[in-house]
Amino acid sequence: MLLTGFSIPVDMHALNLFERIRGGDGQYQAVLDGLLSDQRWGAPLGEEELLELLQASTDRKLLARGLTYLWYTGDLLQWTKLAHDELRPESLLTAATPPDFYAGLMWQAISAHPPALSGGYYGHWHYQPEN
Amino acid sequence: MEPLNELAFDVVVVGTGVCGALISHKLSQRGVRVLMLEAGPDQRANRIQMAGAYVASANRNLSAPYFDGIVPPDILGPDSSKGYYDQSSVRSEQLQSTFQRTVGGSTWHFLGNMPRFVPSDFELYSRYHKGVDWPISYEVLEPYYTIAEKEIGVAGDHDAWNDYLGAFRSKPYPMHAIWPAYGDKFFDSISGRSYQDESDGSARVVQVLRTPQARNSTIYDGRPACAGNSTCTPICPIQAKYDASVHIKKATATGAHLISSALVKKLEVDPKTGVITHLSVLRYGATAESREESLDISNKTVIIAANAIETPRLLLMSGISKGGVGLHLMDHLQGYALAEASEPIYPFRGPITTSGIDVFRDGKFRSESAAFRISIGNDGWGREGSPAKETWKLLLEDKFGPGLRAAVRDRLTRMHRISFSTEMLPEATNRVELSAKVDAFGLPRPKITFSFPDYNKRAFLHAGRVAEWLYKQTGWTQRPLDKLEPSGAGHIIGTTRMGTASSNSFADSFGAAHEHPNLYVAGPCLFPTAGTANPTLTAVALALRTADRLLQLLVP
Repeated sequence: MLLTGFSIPVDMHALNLFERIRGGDGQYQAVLDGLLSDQRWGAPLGEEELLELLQASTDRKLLARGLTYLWYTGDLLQWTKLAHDELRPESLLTAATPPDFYAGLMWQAISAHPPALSGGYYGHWHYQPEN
Repeated sequence: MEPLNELAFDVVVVGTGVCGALISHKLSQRGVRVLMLEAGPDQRANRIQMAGAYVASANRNLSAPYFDGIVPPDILGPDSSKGYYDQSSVRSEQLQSTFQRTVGGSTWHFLGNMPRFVPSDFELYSRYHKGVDWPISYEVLEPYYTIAEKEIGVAGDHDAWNDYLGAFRSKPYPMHAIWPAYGDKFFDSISGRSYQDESDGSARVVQVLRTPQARNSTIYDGRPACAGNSTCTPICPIQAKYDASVHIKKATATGAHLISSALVKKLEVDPKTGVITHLSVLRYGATAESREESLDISNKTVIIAANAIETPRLLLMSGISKGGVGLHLMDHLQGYALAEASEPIYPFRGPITTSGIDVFRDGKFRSESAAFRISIGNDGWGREGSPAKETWKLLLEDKFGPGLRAAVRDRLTRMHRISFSTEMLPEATNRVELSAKVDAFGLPRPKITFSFPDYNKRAFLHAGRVAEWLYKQTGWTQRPLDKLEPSGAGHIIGTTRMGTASSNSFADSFGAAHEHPNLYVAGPCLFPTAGTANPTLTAVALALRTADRLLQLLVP
């Protein structure tokens, strides 16, 4: 919730993708564990406090930004291009799958649907979305 | 592989895009024996997997769903910016439009907009002393437009389009218009206002019209209504959008023979008569060895319907150049304007565009600058700001949590795009030739010479002023653009144009080659000028007329 604004469980699949893209060997699991075990999670955090918590280390910020992006878009490959300067991935991966993409929170956030998976009826685009 | 010469046929069609497919269907329906040769693979059974491959692909370009790991990418779907075309490295001097080599051709990835050309498009020289006139008028083609709309399944508003810019309609569309996107209502509210056009001093009534589309607004021809998947380009996952596999299926059901992965390399010509006597066909596949066959067609008819790059390339590889083969390459050069709406307009749902403004497709200004068609977008900022890219920008601004969610919603639901497509003139300097560089099959690649003419640059300024006026009417905030750089519309036109004689053209208005008695060409390659709308419907109308002529000749 604090990272994405959505109430979702921690997605270890995204963490695995992140590890692969960074060429890490479990190191980001440790970063995530450290982040989750930070005592400050225990209380409601405002934006400034959250940023302070994430900025405790470069890895934390990197991980938070990367994971949030993956949760929002499921779009590992686009991300590796966008974030190239910051993350310097070793190579583009082919790890992202259609289900990753379809599950992106971004589409919920804007009351739309992932391309190629509307799940909607004819003409739904003519109306204001219900949520 | 069954040897080609063992097949019985009267007509061989090279290329299975929409024109080749429809001609094949119309002929085979009347008992003409048709052999269809397609350079690309047959991927028709893989539609859903291809849609998935697209969303998971690294480069979500038009060819992304179609890469199969077997056919070299440059053969399957040429990347316009690198690889297949041999052309300038300067972007404004590049042809940026591509095509698809697969059974069904480029309709798999086309947007599906289906406006007709208007009468003035056929008479550009007579009316404005620009380009050339067509050897055929709107009136002659009109009955074929109605057949084309029925065959393809076009959803449109007959009353709104009947007589618009002088284009009468003798029959209604087979389906009601696609419902407009939610954001279109903000433009509907300004429809009917007068725009003072400083380009020619006229006052124009700006009407917002529903764009006719090859997209089902109801169940039609065994295909479902559009569900708004928003991937019209490069693939409709449910085939609510037409693609030529529809008519491939109909053609084979009526007896036509389809051979895929069969690349025609060369036409052999009798030097005395001009008759095409043989086709050299390279057949390849994943499990069978490639082999070359010489197909005897000396007593048969051949129709080349391989798009405006591959048709002239094949002819040039065959030593056929008379009639301006390869010259007058055109596209509709596109520009755009972007804005932030004053309230959410909820894009990224439904077809990529559902409405447009067509009044600038004709006017006195065409003697100085290009006519253009305006599309009202439903895909945010289009290529200039994908949802993922904008989300990443917000993360770089240290947005997290509820603040991020609110910021994503605020930014992405208010993104809007207007694009405009400008008509190019036929210039002999814009052309396709044979390159010294070769493709994956060892054949000469197309060498492209292309430019961004002043005629179109002036149209960009004209259209830019109109877009500014439109956004001002909506009260939205337009985003400044720092470049005047065109992109391709995917409308590859010209290169074997039709005309009255071989001194000014390659073929007549039926697509019959002036110098080769048994050779026809079909597709937008025949267009003498680019016209002011998406070319597919007009190409299909011409192809249906070609099929009629062939039936008169071949069926007693």
